Amino acid sequence: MNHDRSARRRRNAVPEFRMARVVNFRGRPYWIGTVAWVVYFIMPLLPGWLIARLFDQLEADPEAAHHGRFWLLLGALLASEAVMVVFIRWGHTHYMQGLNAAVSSVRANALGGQLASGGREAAGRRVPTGDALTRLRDDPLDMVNLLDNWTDLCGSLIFGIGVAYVLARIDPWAALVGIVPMFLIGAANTRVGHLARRYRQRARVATSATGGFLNALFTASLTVKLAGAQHDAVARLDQLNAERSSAMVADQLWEDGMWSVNGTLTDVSVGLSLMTAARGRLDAGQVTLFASYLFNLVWLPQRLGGLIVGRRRYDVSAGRLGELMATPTDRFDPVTEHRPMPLLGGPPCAAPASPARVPLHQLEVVSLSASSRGLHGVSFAVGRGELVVVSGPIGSGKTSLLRAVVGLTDLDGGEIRWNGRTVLDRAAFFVPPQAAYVAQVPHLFAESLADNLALGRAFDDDALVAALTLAAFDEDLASLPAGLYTPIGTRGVRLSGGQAQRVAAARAFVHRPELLVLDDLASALDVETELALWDRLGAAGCTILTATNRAATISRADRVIALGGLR
Amino acid sequence: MIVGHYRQRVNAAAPWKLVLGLLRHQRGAVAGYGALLGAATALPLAGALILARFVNLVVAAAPARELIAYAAAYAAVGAGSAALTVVVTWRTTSLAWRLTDELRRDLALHVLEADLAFHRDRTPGELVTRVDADVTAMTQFLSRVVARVLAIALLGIGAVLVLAVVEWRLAPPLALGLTLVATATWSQRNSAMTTTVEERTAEAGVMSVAEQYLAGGDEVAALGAGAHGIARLAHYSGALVDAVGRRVRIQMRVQGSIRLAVIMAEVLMLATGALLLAGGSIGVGAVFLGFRFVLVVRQPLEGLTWRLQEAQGATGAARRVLDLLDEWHAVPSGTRRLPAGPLDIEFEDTLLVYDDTEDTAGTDHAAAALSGLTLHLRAGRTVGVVGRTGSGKTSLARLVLRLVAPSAGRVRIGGIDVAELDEADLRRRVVAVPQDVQLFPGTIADNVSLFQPFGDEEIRAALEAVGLGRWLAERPNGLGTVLAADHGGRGTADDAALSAGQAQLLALARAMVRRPDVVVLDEATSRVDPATQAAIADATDRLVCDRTAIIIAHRLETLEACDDIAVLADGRLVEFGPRNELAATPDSRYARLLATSDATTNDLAGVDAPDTPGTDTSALTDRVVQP
Repeated sequence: MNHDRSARRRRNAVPEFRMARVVNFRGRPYWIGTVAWVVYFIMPLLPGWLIARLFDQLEADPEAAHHGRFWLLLGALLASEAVMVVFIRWGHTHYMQGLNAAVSSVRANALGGQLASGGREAAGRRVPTGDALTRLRDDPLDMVNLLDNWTDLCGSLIFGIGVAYVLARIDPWAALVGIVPMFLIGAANTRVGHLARRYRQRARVATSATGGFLNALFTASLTVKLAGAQHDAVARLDQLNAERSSAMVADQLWEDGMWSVNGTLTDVSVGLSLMTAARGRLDAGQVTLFASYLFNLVWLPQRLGGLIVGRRRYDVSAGRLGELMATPTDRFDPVTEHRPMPLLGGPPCAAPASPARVPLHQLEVVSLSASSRGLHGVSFAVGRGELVVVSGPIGSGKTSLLRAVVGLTDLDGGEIRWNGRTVLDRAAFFVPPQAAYVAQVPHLFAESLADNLALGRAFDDDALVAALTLAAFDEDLASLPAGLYTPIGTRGVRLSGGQAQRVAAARAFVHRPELLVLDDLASALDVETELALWDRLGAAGCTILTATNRAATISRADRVIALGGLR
Repeated sequence: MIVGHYRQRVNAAAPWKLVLGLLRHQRGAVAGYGALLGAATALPLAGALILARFVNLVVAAAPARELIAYAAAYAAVGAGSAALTVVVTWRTTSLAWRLTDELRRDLALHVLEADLAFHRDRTPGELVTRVDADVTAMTQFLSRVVARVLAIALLGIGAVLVLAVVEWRLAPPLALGLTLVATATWSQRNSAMTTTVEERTAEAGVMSVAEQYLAGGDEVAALGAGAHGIARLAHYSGALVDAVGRRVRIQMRVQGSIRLAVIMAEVLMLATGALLLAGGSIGVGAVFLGFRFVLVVRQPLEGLTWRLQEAQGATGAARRVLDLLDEWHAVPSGTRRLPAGPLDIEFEDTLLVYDDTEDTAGTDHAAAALSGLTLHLRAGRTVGVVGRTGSGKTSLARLVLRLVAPSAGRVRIGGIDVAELDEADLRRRVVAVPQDVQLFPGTIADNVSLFQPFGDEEIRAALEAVGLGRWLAERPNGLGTVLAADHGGRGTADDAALSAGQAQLLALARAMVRRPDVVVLDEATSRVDPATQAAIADATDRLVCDRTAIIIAHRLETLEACDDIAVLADGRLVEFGPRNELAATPDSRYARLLATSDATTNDLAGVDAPDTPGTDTSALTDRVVQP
């Protein structure tokens, strides 16, 4: 058992195995493409040999052009190159689809870590959205690219063996003198390879900083305009741009520079082996063989170096993406998880199973502390069907308290009990049908109103309309052009702020949860509607925990938790 | 500002045009770069010449000593070429970044100068993609495609010229062969355009879903709906994988045809060489040289064909960048400056009709947002503007701030038509406090000054004046404390270092530090407890004191601090007068408001009803720009 465990850990530690498990999810195109590429790398042996034969003929007989054999060879050269062109066109299309499917897989897994409600998959949401998005966009690519590095290396290696064989038959010493420097270059690349990682990291950090600043700038673009501060803000952007540029130039110099230097250094290799071969008897065909084979061979050490850079990039990216995902364990690697992915044309995913309903009799919050959020030993209880209000000045921790209850904020101490039993994984437990949470500033998605309410679960239209009516959205609903099926725009921009908040409330109501946790609906509902809402929710047996300072709600509450705050 | 360079070429949008605009701006650097590239071209050609000579010597069975000398020379040229390559790569990338950083800056400025209509249909994320990702595609295009194309063209031309001198009979077939290659390359430059655009669109779809679900991560997790977010991402990923397949298929066709053209050129050189050799006019070395010159071009060209997709990506990116630059939404600036001292504000029979009526779901409000508004706000007085949502309060404020231009009539500040005012002067003297406060990743000082050059003491004084003095004193690094900015919508009030109320106070400090003469304040409606409300009221009093102020009021307390009250209904002014007089007149709308408002709430429930469908949002800034 122990042995088995350490073997698994090793497998997690080897990035290639990890990525192979990811591509294997939809493996066929990837493996077809890989084989095609390897064959493609070996193919240049043939045209190189044909050209050498051509020059042999020209040297032996200056009038070779008058013989059919010369034109036959020339035709064979043309055909061999044409076959390569057609072959790789077929293989590469598969290859790219395979790699991109793998990238999508890793991306979905990272998003999964950010969206999981507790459990082994859940990772904290500590990375700001802009930054997390950059990671989600770029890092899976760098991780999967590691496999691409391997494909390249394998093909080049087999080709290299063929080259070594052919050249060694001409002159073993010349072959050695030609091939060895290439590996010296490769080794040199490896020695300084750690620089690549540092440059890449620096470039990424600088790119994130610029992206984050631009996002904030454009979010607040009218604030900046109204302050007449456009030029000053752009001056700050210039600073960030300058830092990013220097990081990017270093990174690209490393990447592009290493590749082109290696390319031109082949000529050094060719020169050296010709110097060696010139000791004996050489012919023109052999010269062309040395020049063309050694040129193609240059890919080998380059790809060795590429693999080293690729592995370093993998490390950087896996580290950055890992911050969005749960820590891998012996039994679970969040990166290689195979999720049902309803890729285009396939059937949609089945709705995820909801946990079984556990009717709430009493919720107890026992000496709950989150000192960084200003909560110190808060205790209270909520009975079934009660309306409990948390109130207090700004910064007193109302929102934090609600978030702590449903597991969105970590605790320093204390516990939450459901019917007297301590809830261990709050984030996993406090989901519908047990609890539903409505944030102060809700987030909606670029889907139809119905999809925004159901979020992948099966509800009939009546249930959706009922929830919307409860949230006082019925009149708004009547005015929407396609009713429940109206797209509400990216982030719900087609709704006003108040409408968005009421839709978010309906999104929680539709589950008829045992416990509703509402963070201040005051700005979305007028007093009468809100009071009516409490009555109707109460009649439905719903228990409510809400943060508000609205006097009307407080007067209607069964219990008021007054938080002291900083003053 | 180099926008002018490309603005004229918007119609023929292609990355090359944009690149030319950029290059013109940096002529000096480009010239030096050209010289470097020339040197980098000469070396591989010299190498080919040496190798051809080597073949001739081999055929002539020359002594080994001579052969070794030539082989050594070839190796030396290779080493020199490698060294030069590093320099070229370095110069290429830094030049590309320098050029495009300017473009980034211009684009950012362009976006920041734009007005409300521009931002209504765009998310910040989309704009970031334009200004950052698309311009980075241009950078890569410059450093990896343009530079290579230039180098290859130089090599090809150089090869033909050298051959014309060394073995003129072979120069025409080489020119023909390379022209074939160039034609094949050039004719394919746009062939993957549509598929590349499709791929980018699919990619943007994936990122848009990811962004929305990352931003709403807390709620999605709390609703146990993570699987739905992933299913959405997977759906868009599927479209992306399909689009990649289509793009690659075409890309490989392009590459294949270029490759075939190169092979034809090689075969052409070998065939003509062999025929000339058979005729006895050239030697084997010359045949080799002709063949080798095709290879000299082939090697970098093969590298380029893999980069052609970047060129196509850049075509799309350049188009989008040019489209963005072409789109100009801003109320034009005038040149007149405001008179010194307190300023009055006059509306004269002002009409405002929004031409864009699709900003809220499924409704149209072709009706005027404001009509027949005639109103004189005297200098130094504070007016509270009240009315239901959609009554025109926000529009009134937008007119004063010149975020929109009146459809008819006039708005004057200090006696000068707002349309004629100099932009910088207007922004300096007339300051807005929006309902929603946006924080920046940066220090407290940055967030108050908005990066403008205010002294620390001024900033500190402003923060103290709004009651944030104690809060500031508790910050470990004072004004240099970095605020946890809420960019991208992640995090809630308690994640940021500032609560919603403190953010409101900070917004007041932003206004305070600018010492304006006119303040337009859109009062925050919610999420403020009574104590903070009082703090905000105090700070507001201090801000509007001795200044002309327009307060879009949502609370009764605020109205008590106003000198005058203006009541709007359905875009018309229905009541205006000193607050005391109105309050004392029992049948005035204001007095009725006082009487009917729910004493247990602080809201102007009867006045500012919750948003109803079809009404504009009540914020000065549109909802799009709220996190």
